Amino acid sequence: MPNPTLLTGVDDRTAIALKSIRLSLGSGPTRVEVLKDITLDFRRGKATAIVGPSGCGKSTLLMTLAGLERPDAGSVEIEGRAITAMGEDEIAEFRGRKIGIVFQSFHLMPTMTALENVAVPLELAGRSDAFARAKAELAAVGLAERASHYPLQLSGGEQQRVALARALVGDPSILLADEPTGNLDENTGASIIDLLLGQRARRGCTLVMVTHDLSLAARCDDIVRLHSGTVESVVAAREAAAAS
Amino acid sequence: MRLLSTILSFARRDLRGGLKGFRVFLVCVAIGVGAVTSVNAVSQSLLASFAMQGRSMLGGDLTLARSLRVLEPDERAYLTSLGRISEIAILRAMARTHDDRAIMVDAKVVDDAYPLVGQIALEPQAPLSRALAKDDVLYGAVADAAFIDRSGLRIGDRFDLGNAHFVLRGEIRSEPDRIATGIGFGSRVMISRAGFDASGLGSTASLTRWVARLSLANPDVDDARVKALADDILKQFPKSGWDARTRANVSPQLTRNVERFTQFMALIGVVSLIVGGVGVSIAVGAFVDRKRESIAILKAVGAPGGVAFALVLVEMMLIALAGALIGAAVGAASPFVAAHFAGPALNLPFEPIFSGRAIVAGVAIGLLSALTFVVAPAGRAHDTPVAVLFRSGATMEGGRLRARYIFGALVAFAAMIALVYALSSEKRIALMAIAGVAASAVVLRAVGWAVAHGAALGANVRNLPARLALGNIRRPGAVTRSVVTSLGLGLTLLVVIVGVDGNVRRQLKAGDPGRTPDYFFADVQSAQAADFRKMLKTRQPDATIEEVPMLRGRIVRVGSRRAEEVKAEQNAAWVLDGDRGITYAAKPPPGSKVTAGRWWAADYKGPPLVSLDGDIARGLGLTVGDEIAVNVMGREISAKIANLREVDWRSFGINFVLVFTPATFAGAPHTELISMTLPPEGRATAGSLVSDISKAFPTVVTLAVRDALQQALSLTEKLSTAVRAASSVTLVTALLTLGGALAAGQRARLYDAVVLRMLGATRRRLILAYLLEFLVLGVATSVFALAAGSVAAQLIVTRLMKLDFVFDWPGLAAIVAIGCLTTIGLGLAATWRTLGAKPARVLREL
Repeated sequence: MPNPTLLTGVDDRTAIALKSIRLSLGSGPTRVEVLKDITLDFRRGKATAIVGPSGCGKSTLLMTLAGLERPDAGSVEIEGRAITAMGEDEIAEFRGRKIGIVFQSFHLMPTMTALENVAVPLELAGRSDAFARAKAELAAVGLAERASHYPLQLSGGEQQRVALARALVGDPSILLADEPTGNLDENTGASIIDLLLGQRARRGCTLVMVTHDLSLAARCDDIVRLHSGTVESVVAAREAAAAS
Repeated sequence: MRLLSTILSFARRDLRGGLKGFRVFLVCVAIGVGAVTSVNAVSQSLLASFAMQGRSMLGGDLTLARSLRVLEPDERAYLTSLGRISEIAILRAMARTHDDRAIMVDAKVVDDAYPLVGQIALEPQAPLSRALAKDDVLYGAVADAAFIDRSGLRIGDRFDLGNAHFVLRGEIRSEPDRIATGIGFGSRVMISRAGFDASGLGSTASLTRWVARLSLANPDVDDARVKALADDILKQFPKSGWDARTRANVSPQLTRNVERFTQFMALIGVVSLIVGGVGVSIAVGAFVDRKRESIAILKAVGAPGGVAFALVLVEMMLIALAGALIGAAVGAASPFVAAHFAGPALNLPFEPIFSGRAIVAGVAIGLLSALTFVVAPAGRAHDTPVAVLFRSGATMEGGRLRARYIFGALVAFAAMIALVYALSSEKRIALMAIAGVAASAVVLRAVGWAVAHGAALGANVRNLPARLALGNIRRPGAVTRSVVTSLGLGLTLLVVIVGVDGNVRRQLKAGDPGRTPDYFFADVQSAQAADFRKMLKTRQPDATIEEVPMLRGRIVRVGSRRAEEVKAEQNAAWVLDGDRGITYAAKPPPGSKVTAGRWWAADYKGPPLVSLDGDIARGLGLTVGDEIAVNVMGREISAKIANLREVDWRSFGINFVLVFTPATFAGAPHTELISMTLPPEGRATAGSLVSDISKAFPTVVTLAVRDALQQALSLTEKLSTAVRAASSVTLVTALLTLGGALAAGQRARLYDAVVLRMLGATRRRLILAYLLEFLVLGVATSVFALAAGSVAAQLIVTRLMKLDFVFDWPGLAAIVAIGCLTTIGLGLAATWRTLGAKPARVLREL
């Protein structure tokens, strides 16, 4: 049975196109096929939630979209460019220009201040206004006063705000988020999601978010449900809400 | 007891998983213990060989030596009543070949009873008595390979010694008592007593030393009895002036040199243990960090902090014990390996033994060193918060280490120093070396701290690779302090060795241009001195000629004690071994400065006074006003120390440890010692002058200073090779430590690299950041090593060796370059893996 797709065919409304993605992890007897022949398009400027049980391949799929995991077979096209055909450094530079990522564990550089962490993508891109932009971005997430603090001096919620500012500072057209509230309490998580979705809406970028939280997924435009490495269903969030 | 058993049981379970993460720890301890044990084991074998073969090395059970005087009939009769005796003489003389070349030789005059013990092997094979016998015209002689090589003579060729003619009848292949009779700058020629008498050297050579050897009727008596017998003989003949040696004390100078060299090499081993200790400390710190959740679980189920510490301590010390045993095994085997590969080259009796003392000492020093570096990082386990079980994060905040663990580490370090000190033969130098290493380690720690904090100051630089580099240098758990301390110590030691070695070699190569004499002429008889001077002046009118009277004498009393009862410091002990040259003078000799007391009036006629070298006086525990007695020609002369001198030995000019008032030896027969310093243009014709002197004054001994310095240089080069090999062990340990530190910090580095690549960093940028980081560390470490090592080398060269110090800039610059390149090279090699890591997998695991 072919995988269901949200859109048929790649056109200018498609931000990310996955074709026949297969990916196995581990080696020898412990090798497991995590993604099994996934073909999927993500709509430009829309928010898509990826949901499914633990171990179904959600995060691996997100990593594959980001070019952090190279599939065994198939292709990943982002805005018409096949990142699966790029070399490691080319992918890194492409990611720096086009993609912002937010992780569950924040993944900030412990040796850098909040401001420096946010400035890194712009510095890597050779932008002379890196720190001015970083400062503005920190202010946008409500952390202007904490710019000179190191990650260990910030709360979990503050660290995730810094991570969000870092993801957004380069004005990426693609924003990827992997369980962004997984390490946060309910209230803090809710405020981060408000911030994330608000910023996305304001900037009009494409968001792909992995989450366990169905109420959070319902706030997105589309929902992709994975099961054992295959796409079980792709529905518009409104349809899903109506169905439930 | 039960607690210990529980801890041991936990440790065993924990170590079941293997030694991953502890390889550097294990190797550092093994290398250090191996180095210390090997050096001591080889030395013990050498000294044991001297003891085992003492009888044949000495040429009897005991010997009685003195200058110029043969055995008196009553002395001979007494000794003969105790066993078989042989009397030989040793002297320096000039051999002349048929083509008029003059070669200085260490001549040995033997009687028919020689050798009392052991065998002389000749090539072609022949009994020694036949080889030395006189034919119709010529006396027989045999010589070692060095003489045959230098003289160009072949078996059957003629040569002259003094006024007699000799024929070379054989090459000496084995001379068992060679060490006891000593070889200086000459080479060995052995002749008969009759040949010696015919040469006329007996009446002129001031350096003739007569040695009576006694082989006891019952040689199975123990060494203590032999010593008692020697003391008894000296009491029987109190005026004899003999220097007595027994088979247990063949060559005190050689034994001292072996002990001194052993100590020096062992100290390098100890430095290597300290350098490796930094690696141990890193491994333990990483272990505690890795195990923090297990430790927290133990504490959560009721284990107090002390038990957590004890568990880590026991596990680490078990690994240290394993490393120490590996090192001890290597050390125990080293005498046997050395005997197999280097035995013949040693030119010394060498029978390898299994040295329990060396093994126990090596293991004990190794374990104390490990304990020093384990206690503090293991102490961190005590305060591991149980909260880590509820909190994720890549690093754990470090609190203040409890004072008891800092104290424990200091006690372990003090115990190690005490042990090294107790085992040292030269305690002052051992203490200075340990203090130097400890001070360097402390300063290097401070340099590491300064570099890390300096990096923090530069943390706001806007250049990303620079900021990454500085961030890596100052981050908690960074390699900075470890690299700076361990590599810094290794490089500092290298700078010290290169600095000292270079200066000693330079001095030996060149002497002190313009001041170092070109030739010494010894045994110039007073009656022929005027003619001799005239010949020198005629042939070399621009040469500087110095002349001093010289006698031979032995120090027999130091203050109120007999010389043999004095425990002198090592730097002064040699003056009590046998005869020394002594002189008298109305004015202070050139090249010396009176530092205590006053010089006597030029016309002083009172009781004997003496001027003593200040360093020797300190080594013998003497000062101005004390008395010292020498035996000259059987006469004991007591003199009060009038002053102490600082002697500048650097010029290798004429100078003496003991200078007496002229009236002390008024009328005593003596010879003249003459030195000749040539202008550069005079050197071309000096060879023919020496040849002519040997013809005109056949009993005068000529020493070419350049040749002597060349021989000393050759010996220095051999020793320096051994020292450099030993110090390379320290450098290897430092590099291992650096590797270990990089491996321990790999987790954090990998994390950074992956996050940066996620954000768009290329490998080139990451490499640039790493390059900058290791360049800063390499430069800081090397510059400190250069500064500290140069200061230490300068102190050693100028204060201990009393030589001039010159900076060997090319050599030192090479070390700095090596330090930087090594740090960068190893750093990049170790971090290369992070560049190829799969980001998704790393992010998933972290």
